[in-house]
This record gives sequence, C-alpha cells and structure tokens, in this order.
Amino acid sequence: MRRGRPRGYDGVAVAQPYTEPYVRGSERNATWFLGRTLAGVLKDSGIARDAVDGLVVTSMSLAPDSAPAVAEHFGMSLRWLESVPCGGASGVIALQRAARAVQAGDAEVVACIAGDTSSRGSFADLVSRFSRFSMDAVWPYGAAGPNAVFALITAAYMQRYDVRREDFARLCVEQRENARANPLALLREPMSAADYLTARPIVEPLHLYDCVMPCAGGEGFLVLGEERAASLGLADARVRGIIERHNAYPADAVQLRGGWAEERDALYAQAGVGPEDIDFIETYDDYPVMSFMQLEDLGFCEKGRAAEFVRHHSAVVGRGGLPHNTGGGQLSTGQAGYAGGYLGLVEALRQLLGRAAGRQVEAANLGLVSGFGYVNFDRGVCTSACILARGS
Amino acid sequence: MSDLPEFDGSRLARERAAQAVNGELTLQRCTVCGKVQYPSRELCQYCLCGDLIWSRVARTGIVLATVRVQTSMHPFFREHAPWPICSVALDAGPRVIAHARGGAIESGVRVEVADERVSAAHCVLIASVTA
Repeated sequence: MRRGRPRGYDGVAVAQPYTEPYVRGSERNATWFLGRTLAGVLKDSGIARDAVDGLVVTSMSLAPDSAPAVAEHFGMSLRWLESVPCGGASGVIALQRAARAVQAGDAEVVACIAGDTSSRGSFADLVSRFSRFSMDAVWPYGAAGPNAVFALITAAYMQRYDVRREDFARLCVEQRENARANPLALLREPMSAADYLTARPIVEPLHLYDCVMPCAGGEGFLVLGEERAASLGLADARVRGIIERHNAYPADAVQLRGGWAEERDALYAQAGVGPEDIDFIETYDDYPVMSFMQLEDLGFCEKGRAAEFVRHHSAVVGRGGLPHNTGGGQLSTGQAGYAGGYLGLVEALRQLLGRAAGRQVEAANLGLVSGFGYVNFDRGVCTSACILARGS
Repeated sequence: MSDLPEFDGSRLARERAAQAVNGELTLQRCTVCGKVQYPSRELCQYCLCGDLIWSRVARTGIVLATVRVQTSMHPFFREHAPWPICSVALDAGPRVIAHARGGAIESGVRVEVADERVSAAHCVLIASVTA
C-alpha cells in the first residue's frame, strides 16, 4: 500500500535530557518521580516552570491520578496536555506528539516526563491487574507476569532461528560493560557470560539476567522550537523521522517480528538515511530477544540473524561495532515502569549532545531509538522508532 | 488440578466460567460472522458485532511454545515449580495460554485444550497431548 510521506520535523529541537536517579524501591509515589523529572529537565534551561505550556505524562503507577491531576499537582497552567500510556513505546511517541504540537503552534515548550514508583508488592499488584486480557488469560497461568509471555516468545524464537542462550549472553554482557560507565545504572558490577548462563531460572528459558529489575525513577526531555532553543543557548538534537505501529501482524501465531518491520522503510525514507548510517542504537530491551528482533526488523541484519550480528558487531562503546544500549539498557539500569520507555531516548539525547561521559560514542551524529511495549495478552502491542541527529 | 488457585477476572471471564463444562472448551462465537475469539471481548473483533454467544468449540490445536514457570508471584506456583505452561494455536482460530498437563509439551505437538473449573467464577484452560 502506497501512502504519503509524513511532513518532516523541521524547526523542532529536543533538549534537556534528564534522568531522575533510579532507586530499587521507594515509599514515594509516581507523582514525586514525575515532579522531580520535570524539575530536572528545566534545571539550567533558562525556562521557568510557568513558561512550559505543554506537557506529556507517562506513568504506569499513577492511578488513581492521571495527567490533569499531575498538572494541578505541579501548579501548572497548560494549553496543551497529553498522556501517552504505550508502555515501552511511550518515549518516542511522546516525542512525536510534542514535536507536532510545537510545529503546529499548539504549544511552545513541551515537557515530556515519565516517572514511576516501585515498592515491595506493588509490582505484583500492578502486573496482576495490568489489563483485562492479562487478568483473564495470562495471570492465572503461573502468575509470572510478562516473564511468562516473553518466555513463550523467547522459546519460539530460539527454536525457529536456532538461537542459544549464549547468543543472548553476548548482548547482555556487553550492555553491562556499557553500564559500568553509567553512574545512573543500578547494576554496574561486572557480569560474565558464565554469570548470565548460570543465573537462576525465572520462567525457562528466561533466567535472572534476561529480566529487568523493577525500580523507581524518572526520565524526561524538552521539545521546543529551534529558535527558542537557540535563543536560550540550549544544545539540542533534531528529529529526522518517527514511526509507530500498534497491533502489527495480529495473525502471526507467535510474535517473532514487530511493527518496525512494517514501518522501517518509512522511517529511513523520512530520515533520508539507511541503517548503515546509524552511529548508535538504543533498543527496548525488556528481554534480550526483543532487542534481537529490533536489530532484525529495523534492517541491521536479516530476519533471524541477530545472533550472528551481535557476534560480529560489539555493542560496547568504543569497540568498533555498533554501540547499542550505550548506558547499559534497562537490563542494567533497571526498569522504572513506563519511564523505561523513555530511557533509550534520553540516553540517545545525551549521546548526541556529547554528555555521555565515560561512554560517549565518538562522532555520534545519528542515533536510532526503538520502543516496544504494552503486553496485553500474548505479545507487545505498541512499537515505535525514531532517528535523531546532532543539532547544529 | 482442582486445587489450582482462583484469580479475579473480568465480568466476561466470570460469564465464561459460568458456561464452561469440565473437559469441553467454551469460547465466544460471533452470531453474525461465526468467528471464535479469545481472550473474551466485549464485541466481535472481526465485525464489531455486539451479539456474541458462548459456544462449544473444537478442543484441538498445536503447541506453539512451552515454558516452565520457576519464579512466580503466587505461592501455589512457587510450591509446584517448575510449572509448565504453553501457548496453543487452536484449530478453532484463537491462540490461548494454557496449563500443560503431564509436563512440558514440545512445540508442534497436537494437543487438546479443555476447561477445568476451579470455582463457580473461575475456570482455566488445560492442554494435554492428544491420545
């Protein structure tokens, strides 16, 4: 099906990446992490809180509140308010919504913030009532949350493409190497392939280091007009292309590909580049099998060949391969609820602004960020991706 | 299996449980397009018709993947770990996740999936290798 190419994102600047430091557990609620993230993206920006006229809110643990409650909680008077609840695809989608609002003049300065809390027992409560389909058709079968679904997907992927745990180990170990230079990562101790392979089973074939560690924290950034950013002296990144696809390939028996496969040509066409031009990539690594699928579906290698790709292209910054999940990814930093869906984007902005001390990709001019999320029944519903460029 | 734990479900899950019969498979069928669907929905995902009935459907299907739950958030499954579950593509159309009776069942194996009642309000799907 031919369709028109969407308008470009000319005139839009993305700035002020901020991570509210992650903690293993917190008695504070999601609103606290959202608020500290908002303060973080505004700090040193020259933009007063009252000058923010647009807000995107993403949170998994915000109930019973929602975006309007957050606005009032923070004393903000806004002319544009958006909520993006697309799980791990949310960061890229928030960027898309905010960029279009700025281009259209519906808002001048949009803060995109994601934040979640985590406490003993809260994860099980959230996961057990995540959605009606998951309550009715997944949770009663082992009460293992998304680990059960992704174990089924991982098992099918491994069998279909003859992939072994050693293949996933390579990526997980290399991401951990990247995390060692990221003070924001909760898991920074060295990890060997043997550590990965001998970790305790969770839902076989998944073991401990295939699964993200739930935590609390926040991620955010600002979207504003390029002239405004320049007048404030803010370093920025530019949007070269964005795609999203929800409920891709619903007839596939098992989710062995995601919406990226359907949309990647549109993404590269928007950006006027190909995968070979990308300097680094941030995939959504809720489980390593999903990062493998993103490498394939975004055209870095053929379908089913990600294991071979990671053997020949190191993910570690500075090792001459394709730097991948340069801050360690969620597998090393922890997953702060839906803020995990902003993590790759915030890390990519740091790379493009030259602020990734200790893990800075040399000549980081083009970065690809990929999102994935919302496991409603037996697969993730939402996929997204964007290509970002270093600003002028 | 009757000692399986009971979980809160949606109104539709309770409706399905009320109609389910042990050893049979009772799923939603659209009265207009005739398609079978699962998980239970408010209306037909194929034609958006709101007129659905609970219908006995073919129990047969093929295993897509089997895994073993070692770490669960519920004590029952922790006590009984490793607990095998599988995904099944039913001949009737939908995909389901089911408990795997008799241990892990390899992918590609033909199975029958049937309901097992846990309480008046809760039933679960059990997959077992076709005799």
